[in-house]
Amino acid sequence: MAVTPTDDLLERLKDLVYAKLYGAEHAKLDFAMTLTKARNSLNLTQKSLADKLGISQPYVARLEGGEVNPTLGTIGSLLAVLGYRLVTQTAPLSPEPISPAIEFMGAADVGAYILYKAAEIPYREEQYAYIALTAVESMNDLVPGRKADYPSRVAVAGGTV
Amino acid sequence: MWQVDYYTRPTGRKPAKDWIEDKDNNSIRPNIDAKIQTLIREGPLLRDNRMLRPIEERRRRQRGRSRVIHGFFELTGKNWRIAVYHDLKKDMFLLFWGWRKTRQSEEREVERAIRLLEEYKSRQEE
Repeated sequence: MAVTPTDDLLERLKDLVYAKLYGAEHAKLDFAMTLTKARNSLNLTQKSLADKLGISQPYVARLEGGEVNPTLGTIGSLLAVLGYRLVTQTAPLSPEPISPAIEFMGAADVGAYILYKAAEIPYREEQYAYIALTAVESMNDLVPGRKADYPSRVAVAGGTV
Repeated sequence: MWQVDYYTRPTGRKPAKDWIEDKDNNSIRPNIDAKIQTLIREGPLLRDNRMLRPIEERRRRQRGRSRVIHGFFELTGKNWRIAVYHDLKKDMFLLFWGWRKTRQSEEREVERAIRLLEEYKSRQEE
């Protein structure tokens, strides 16, 4: 089986020293992307954002490139000027490898897979069943002549649609 | 999520993987890994903050004129670059080659990355 960059990373993360360094870089890049998306949502250029924040454009570029390490207070101030606040949450450090079941799934099987996953989860049945039915309908639209549905699986999913 | 993989040469070598795992790059490897994972999560959005920049092939004989190679980018770090190709047909990113950024090395390394890309493209046509 081919070794991907994620496989290599998972191997390296077994080393705690490496994991700490990776975690620091990951956090900086996470904020970089958050700031970029916040700027895009307001249709601002890096220059106009810099003017709004009272900082230089090159510093915005470095923030968005994940090259600087702003304090939490600085992050809070930057986002406040844009009308946002920082929301923090934790997630597993290790990226999840792509499941082969998904990787090799044909497009026409996606609806059935969603139904299968929905049946595994006893919560929010209606929403999952609705999502699954929508996916099946979308597949029918995409694949000429395809008119599949999954009534028995929908019943398993507990949906009322 | 975007699929990101190493380019594998006909010999079985993966030049980008070999470069990332070179012991000289121990200190920048966490940054490289984090950026590759960001590419996996965000894909072409990295162009918006120039973490992903188009690679230009400079033509020495044409007095510095350059040509942009469609879909060919450099993933950028503070002092490193990795050549990345966005294969639209396969809807995936391929990592070709990496280098430390210095003024002297840049042109030579870009040429090497372009040669690898041409090798990849010629194999796709076969």
